[in-house]
Amino acid sequence: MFQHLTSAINLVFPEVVLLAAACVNLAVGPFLIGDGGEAPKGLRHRWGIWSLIALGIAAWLSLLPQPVVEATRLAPFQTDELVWFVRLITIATGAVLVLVNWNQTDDRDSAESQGLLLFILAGASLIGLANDLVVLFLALELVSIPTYVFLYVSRRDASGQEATLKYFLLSVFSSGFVLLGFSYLYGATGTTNLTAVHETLRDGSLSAMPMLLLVAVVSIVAGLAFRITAVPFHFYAPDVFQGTANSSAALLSFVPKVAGFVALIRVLGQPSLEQAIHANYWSLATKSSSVLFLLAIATMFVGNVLALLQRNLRRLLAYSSIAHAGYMLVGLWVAMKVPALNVSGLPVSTTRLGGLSSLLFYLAVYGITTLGVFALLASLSRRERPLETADDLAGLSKTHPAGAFLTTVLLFGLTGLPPTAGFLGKLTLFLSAWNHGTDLGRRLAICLAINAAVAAWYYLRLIGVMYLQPSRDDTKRETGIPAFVGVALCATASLMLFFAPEWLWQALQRV
Amino acid sequence: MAISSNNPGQSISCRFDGLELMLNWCQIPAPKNQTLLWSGRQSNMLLLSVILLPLLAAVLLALLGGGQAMARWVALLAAVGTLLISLGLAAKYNGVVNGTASSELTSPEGSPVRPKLEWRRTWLTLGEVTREAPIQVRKFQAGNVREDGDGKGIEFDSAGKPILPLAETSQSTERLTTSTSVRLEFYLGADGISIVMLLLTAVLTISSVLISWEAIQNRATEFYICLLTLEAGMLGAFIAFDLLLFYVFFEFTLIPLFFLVGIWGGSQRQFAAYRFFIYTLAGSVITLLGLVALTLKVLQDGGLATPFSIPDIAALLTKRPDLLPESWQIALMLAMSAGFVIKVPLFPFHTWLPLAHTEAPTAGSVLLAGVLLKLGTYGFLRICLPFFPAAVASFGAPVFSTMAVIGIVYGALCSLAQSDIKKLVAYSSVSHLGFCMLGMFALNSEGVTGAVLQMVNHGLSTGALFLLVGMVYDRYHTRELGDLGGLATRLPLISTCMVFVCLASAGLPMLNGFVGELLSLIGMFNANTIYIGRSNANPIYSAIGATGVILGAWYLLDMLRRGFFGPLKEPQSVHGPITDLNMRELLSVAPLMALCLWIGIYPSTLIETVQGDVKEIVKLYPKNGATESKAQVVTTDK
Repeated sequence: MFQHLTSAINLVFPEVVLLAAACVNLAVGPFLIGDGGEAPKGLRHRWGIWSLIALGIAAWLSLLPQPVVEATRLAPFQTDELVWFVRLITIATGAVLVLVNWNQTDDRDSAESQGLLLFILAGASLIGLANDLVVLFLALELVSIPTYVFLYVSRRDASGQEATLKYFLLSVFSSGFVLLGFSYLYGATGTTNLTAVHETLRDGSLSAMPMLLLVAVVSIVAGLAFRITAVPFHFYAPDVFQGTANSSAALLSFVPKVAGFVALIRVLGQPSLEQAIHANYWSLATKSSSVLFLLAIATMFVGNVLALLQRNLRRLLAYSSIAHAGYMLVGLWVAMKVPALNVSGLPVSTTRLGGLSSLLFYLAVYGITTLGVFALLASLSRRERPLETADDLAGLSKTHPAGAFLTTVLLFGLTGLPPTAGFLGKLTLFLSAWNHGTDLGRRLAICLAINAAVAAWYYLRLIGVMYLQPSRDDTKRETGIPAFVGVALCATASLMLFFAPEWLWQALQRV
Repeated sequence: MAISSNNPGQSISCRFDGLELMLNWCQIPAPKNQTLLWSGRQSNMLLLSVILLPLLAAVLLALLGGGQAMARWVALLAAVGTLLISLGLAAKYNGVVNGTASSELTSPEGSPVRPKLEWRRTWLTLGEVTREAPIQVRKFQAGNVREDGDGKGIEFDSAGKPILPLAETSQSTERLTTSTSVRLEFYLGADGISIVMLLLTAVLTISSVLISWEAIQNRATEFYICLLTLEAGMLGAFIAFDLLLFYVFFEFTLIPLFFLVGIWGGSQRQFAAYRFFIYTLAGSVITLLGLVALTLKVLQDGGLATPFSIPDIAALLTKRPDLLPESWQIALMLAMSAGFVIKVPLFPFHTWLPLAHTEAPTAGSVLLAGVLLKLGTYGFLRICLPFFPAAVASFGAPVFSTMAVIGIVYGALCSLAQSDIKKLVAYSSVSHLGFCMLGMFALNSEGVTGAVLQMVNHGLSTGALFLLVGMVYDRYHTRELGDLGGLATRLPLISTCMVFVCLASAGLPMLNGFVGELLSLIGMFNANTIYIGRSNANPIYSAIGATGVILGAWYLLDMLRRGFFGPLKEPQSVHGPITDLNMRELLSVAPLMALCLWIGIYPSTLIETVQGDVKEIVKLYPKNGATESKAQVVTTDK
């Protein structure tokens, strides 16, 4: 028993480091604050550096050779390439989030704020490892519960409270849905182990009760669709993004998406082509594909069309985040739907250009770009000179040329224009959707194209405001250094990934 | 067929005797004693450096900041340097073509698109492809064979679709298993058409820098950064031989031009910039869809490991015309050309153009008209013509020729109605590019050569027109013909240039416009592409197009009459002391005029540079050879 436990710890070393560091934050934090609630000046810098060190150690540990655990009927964890990817992306974007969060909270709250962030990152990273419904749910909650507090800590005024409460209630509600789905799944298969669940389903022995499993599929997808802000589960996003601090909005725009998509990939599994041609083949993936198709279409269109109407920046970015979830859902649909097969039972398209790798590539690219934009807002926004609405950006090219340039790079990345990684992200999604070989796949690709053109308008308008409109106040804006480092890192990464996408793409091919 | 596609001049001379003298000049062979300047590999790095130099200069400007004084000098030096590199490339290209220099070529033999200089690096390996499909071999069935235009037998199945033998020799039904990796590449190359467009771009950029010297005071550093990035994007598009890379550059040019129009443009600049950007982007997204569909098709059915390489796709589609049935070809051609028709722009997709032209600063207008519009025609020439011969011949030629002909007349009539000189020139672009498209979709060597010539000529003469309009505007701050008159007495040098350039643009013999328009129209006249009922409508199209030449002379000369001759009339508004053409302005416009004259008198340099590539493309359209072989007969009789 003890041996089992130690071997399990070996698998989650990076996450353990993050959790331990977070515990130090919570345990030590209060002692550094004086009796009157006065914190020593510059305490937040120390906590920021501490978080970065913890993330650095976690990154170093996850780059060490890992023990390989096959997904078996008994193991609660599994280590495959997806785990590697999820760790890499949470740690890398986690570092940017720490930078964004650096100056968002005052010295007094920084220990808690940065600590909660580490909890959230550890949770997101654990999701990839899960091979058991219970572990998966625990990991999801490890993301959600600290998020509620994180939202509250970073902004405490009325709108912040409203946003936090809204997120809390709806998130708990969606967790309930996920649990309901999990329990149906357990009831139908008699096990919580994901490998066992998938094997039981694959046998076709449960095809006699399709409705039961359909309920499970629908409620799991609905619950997780809340995390990835898919329409119609997106309603909270614009209000919450607008009401919270920039760092919280940055967190919400990306980390729940990683959590939701990876959880969906783990629970639904991928259809096995060898068995898909059998008549009584049954898997959660194939049954969910029609739901995913509708979600993808609705999410893309609603997100983009409503984003056209927004003036508030975080609200606009919330709708943009919804639209991007739609694009990624296209990738997920391609991964989950059995592709068109020819007479001999082989896929019509013989390219190994799965939806999964394009989805994960896009996820990484989107994370880089969206966090960069939020980092800019965090870096340049001041209480007396806020960056709240699109008009506040006017003349940024004069008042902060470097910031305007980097934001332009990031916004073109979100648009999907070369030379940014966003272009390759959209291209791979196009390719995989078209490569699917079915009419539905082509329709999704066409919808994606239409939406890419629509989305160009609102991103371009922001760029236009920065460069083409005069500012009301020509004095230079102050720069918040840590968050601005985040902006520069994100913009550079977005450009670099365009010119040298090979290393990431090759790694994703093995997922 | 062989003779006239070798030399368009010859087939013309047999029909139009009066032109014989002029076109005989075209037949003087280019000097063959080229010296070996560089070894193959080094000069191919030139392909990369021609893009990198302006980009590096832009980065340098961004990092150093500096004022207007430094920015414009850096920009000028970079632009001149780029021209020198382009000239080096041209020399190297000449050497390769004449066999005095060597170059490693990877593009397949027999491809309609073959760059003579290459530089290839892998960009992204998309994944392993394993092809495992039984080879189907069908036997010809007697009585089911019809003849196509070539006289070769092609088998048709019961539905009337052609069945072509997939693998002629293999009779087995074994499973073919191959495993290849799919690559995106940084594939730069140059053939004659690229070289010509490269030189045009480099020359026009120098003019643009010179014309902006004094005019751009506000945010000058940013202006030159945009200008140089734009140059890099345009050059890249002309030397990209990877479909996706071409698309990347095609899209990328939008970004600097958006800023050029939006920041330094006229009063409606923001609206113009947004409209231009969104309109063009919407079209090119459809192009991307077509591109994706095409590459996946050649990848899956053709097993091509480099499904984005333009020469490889063209070679495959030429070798195996069965790969893309005509319905597929039409769909793909329409999707791919969505971006191009907007860029050209063909009627009725031209609505973004007048506003963008009018609002852009002079340098922006020069590059937009001179080079960016050519990206559209170049896209047709590089992608649609070699890839989709069946669709182009049956569907593309009538449709696009019709749009072109309407554009010629409509653009010219719109120009006649303008009182703003810049708008007049903008609409004349619609008309002139109509000639270019008309020639291209004649699908014979006269027409396509004429189209390439027209691309260059329009770049030179319209570029020069915009420069001169810009000079007038700098002096009087108005472009309204109603406010101006008799400028010839006040600005004799500018007026002289204006008259010269207008005549070039209107197609006066001995100047450049004439050669391109004439070849395009003759190509259309001789072509065999459009039928109304059973009668060949090509001569009618050619005739309607020819009215555009007359209208062109009308609106240009009318503009000259109203603005530059008659009693002197200057706007009442405040303007500084009026001086005539200064040295800097002369330097910006004189090279263009010299080139106009050169091409008008001695077009053979240009024709010889492009005719090899044109010939390869035209080979795909043997049906149009019918009239050419007639021409050949006449020639031999003589």
